Amino acid sequence: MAANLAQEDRWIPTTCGVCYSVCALLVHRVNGTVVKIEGNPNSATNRGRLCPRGISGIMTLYDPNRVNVPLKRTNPEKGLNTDPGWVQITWEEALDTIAARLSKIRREDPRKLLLTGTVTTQDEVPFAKIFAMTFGTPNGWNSGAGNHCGTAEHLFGALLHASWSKLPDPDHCRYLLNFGTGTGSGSYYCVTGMAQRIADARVRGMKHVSIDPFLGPGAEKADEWIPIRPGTDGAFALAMLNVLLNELGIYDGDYLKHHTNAPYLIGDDGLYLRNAKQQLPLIWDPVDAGEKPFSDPTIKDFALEGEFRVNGLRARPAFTILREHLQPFTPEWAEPITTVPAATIRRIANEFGQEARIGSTIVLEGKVLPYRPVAVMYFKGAQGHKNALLSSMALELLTEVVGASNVPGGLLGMNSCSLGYPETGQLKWTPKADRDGLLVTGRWPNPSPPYPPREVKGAETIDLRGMIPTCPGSSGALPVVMADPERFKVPYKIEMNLHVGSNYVMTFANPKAIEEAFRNVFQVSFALFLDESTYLSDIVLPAASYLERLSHTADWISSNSPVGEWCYHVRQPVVGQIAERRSACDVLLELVERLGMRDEFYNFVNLMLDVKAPYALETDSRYSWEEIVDRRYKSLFGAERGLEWFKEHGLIKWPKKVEEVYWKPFSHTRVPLYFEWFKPLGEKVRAMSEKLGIELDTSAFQPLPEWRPCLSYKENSRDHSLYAIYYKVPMQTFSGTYNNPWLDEVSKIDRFAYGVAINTETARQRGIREGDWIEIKSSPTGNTIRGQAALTEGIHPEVVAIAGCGGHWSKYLSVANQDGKGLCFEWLMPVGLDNVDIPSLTQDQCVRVTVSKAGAQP
Amino acid sequence: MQVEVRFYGFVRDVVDTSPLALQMPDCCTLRNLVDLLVQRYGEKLHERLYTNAGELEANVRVFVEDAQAGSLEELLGDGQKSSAEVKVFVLSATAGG
Repeated sequence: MAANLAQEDRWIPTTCGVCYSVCALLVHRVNGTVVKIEGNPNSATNRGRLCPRGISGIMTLYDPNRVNVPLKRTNPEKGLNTDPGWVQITWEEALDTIAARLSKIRREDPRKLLLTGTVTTQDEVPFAKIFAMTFGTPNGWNSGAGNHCGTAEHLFGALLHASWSKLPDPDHCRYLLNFGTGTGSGSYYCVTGMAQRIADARVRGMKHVSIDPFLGPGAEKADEWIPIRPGTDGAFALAMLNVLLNELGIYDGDYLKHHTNAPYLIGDDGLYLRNAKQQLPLIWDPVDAGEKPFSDPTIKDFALEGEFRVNGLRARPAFTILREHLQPFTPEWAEPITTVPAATIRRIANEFGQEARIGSTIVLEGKVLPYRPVAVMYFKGAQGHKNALLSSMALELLTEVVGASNVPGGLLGMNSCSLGYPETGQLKWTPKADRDGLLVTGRWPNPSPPYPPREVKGAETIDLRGMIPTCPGSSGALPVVMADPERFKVPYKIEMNLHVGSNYVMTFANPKAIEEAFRNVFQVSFALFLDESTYLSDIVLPAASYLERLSHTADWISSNSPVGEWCYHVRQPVVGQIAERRSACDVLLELVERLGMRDEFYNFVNLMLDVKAPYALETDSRYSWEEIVDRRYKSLFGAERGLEWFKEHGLIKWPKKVEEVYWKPFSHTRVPLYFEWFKPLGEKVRAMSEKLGIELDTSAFQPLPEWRPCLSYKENSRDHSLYAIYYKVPMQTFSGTYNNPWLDEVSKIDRFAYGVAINTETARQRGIREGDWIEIKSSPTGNTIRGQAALTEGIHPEVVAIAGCGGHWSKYLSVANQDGKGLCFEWLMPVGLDNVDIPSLTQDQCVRVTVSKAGAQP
Repeated sequence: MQVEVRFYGFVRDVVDTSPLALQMPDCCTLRNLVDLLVQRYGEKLHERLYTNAGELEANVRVFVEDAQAGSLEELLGDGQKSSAEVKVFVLSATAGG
């Protein structure tokens, strides 16, 4: 009987859009209704795997709380708890209002427009970025992750791996050190594909050691968990480096000589010694007993150690200076900082160094390559601190000194090198070397990679990135500058925020401070839900979700597995239009026409999306979003592989070459072990900040790593004896998924997902028992949040850990806004530059708190 | 030669973005052209386009007849062409999650 009723029964290939991993899906549609979502086994990205978020997308598609029509605010008062007084308007009225505002701003000063969004919406934000560039504003803020972005990690991704992020080589790694990431468990890039690959790696014998304050979703998959005090990972890494280089003498000399600046001669001023003629950095050739430019073809060997005289000046190889610099950082020095026993640090350093198997090789596709099967991963947990730059530097150097960077078994850039789709040669990029021989990315998500260093400019952007060009990601300075642009000599105020999917109120520090920064801005939101950030909106547009819209998945760098095959997908609507929901890309194209920007916009589309002749957009035609996607596909993959081909097949894939995955041995680029240019850059930043009368601590612009305490580390009053930290869970993405009933259900099963992890003994001392309601009061903000205690031995006794970004309060989120649905960690965090790592503009994410049973006086 | 220049992107606040017609010597370089534009629009355009070392900023792309210029020292004309179309893009950046 049921079979007779079914007239349509299709599985449609598309991609997930709930996090930045862009897993491939097969969506089961019966009679026009989606009934199931599965992973697409044909995809090289997730290989059929799917996490709870991907499976649950069906509930977001049909959620009765979705925004279905354009809305206009009627209450002029704005606030986090102030009802906006939404009334329905037509699309025509909405677009008229938006276009009029945009037109006025563009005429007066286009910099007054801000674009906010999140990469989890994938194509919409890259397309909106093109819109913003065309419009003429430099102001964009990726605010989905917000403070949970791995800012400094991305900086070193560029400097050392020619990539946005890194992953361990899952095919060959044998020893993975994991500092504060969810790699292989439930977060980070290629999440489900890597979860399977890391699981497979453990079966074949890889040891996975997690160094983390909390035995959470990342650490629970490890072979060993080492609890560490928050914000001290850099100290642990420094001690390991010292053991490796100065106690064990373990380092890859051949790699250091040929692929790093370790042999470059450094003068007593901390800078390279250069030859007079070409101003090239010098090295010392011990065979010829003389200095030579690093690229001199007559070099017979590179000195890594020693002290020499060059033109009467003392000259030492960078490696010598590094070893000397590390000497004070013994495991005994690190023990009281990290609370990790010195013997444990020594053991881990020894295991890591031995397993690096320096000198060994492996044959892949007939090529003999270095085999260094160790990798150090870190992300938000380790680097999301006031000491982000210098801690990240220490963590990165662990991989570099043993030569495990972009070789089989080691740490791999995602995806540093592409030789292009074989039939068209598109897209192609390769890491290059600059004049100093150092690595420059072949492709980078932004127009300007962090190296070579850019000019330090006055405050031309609203987030200080113009002045601090080493910030690659979400700037922790934006709320500070936006609240008071005059103080930072920014010659304009943001008047309008084009808000393309993110709940930024809950992902940056202190929602009250965010409210202050945004309350006077005219905000237009493309939204799935009336979440907390839309309380500050003037117009809300009903956005089509990833299951309702067309996209070419834009990002080849971060959406592809580091090994195996290249895989490029389509995202296509799996249902017809629901209510008045529209794709942001369609709406932006409409605005382009209304603003008379077509010529400029099409030129930018051709440039940014690599749409080349004969498919390049012509100004005298008007194209739909479908036509643009079709042209891009054909430009990349040939005339036969346009949109219709992708809609049918879902994806295209081809094998990665060994030169793409393990590109380092094939490259003449070098990476810095000694970050020589940081110091002069810091001096320029300081000079500019002084000129503008802005107080900035630029002391972290250093060539070598140190450990510096976070503000929370220095706060040691008895009243605020615990650290609060945040971590990611596999069943939620930032603050955008908490209204999904299935994710709610799975979160309730895990007592930590909505609760507060606290050490059993720490809880006992405070009279707290499992399930008790507790209050967590922030030392710097004075704000208090409430949650239920989840007692465990698997957490550092000085720490309470809060999962994800729960604790919603929007009255329109009927599932998420209930008591006991997690906590909003950001209420605990202060906004302010003194809590920001200046070189990377990373906002610290640990804080001192008082924890007590609810009802007790804090 | 007759050169038509158009600016795109994060430069609207310092230049006129409508097409600009300029008369240039037949064998001039791109640098000659950009210098002339800087003279016309002043220090703010200089800051937006050039590094202190006199090179183009990393976020600036210059196209001549739809081909991206590799260097400012490239000849704009070869003495044969009577006109050229130049596009100057100033890109802006967001990144992160």
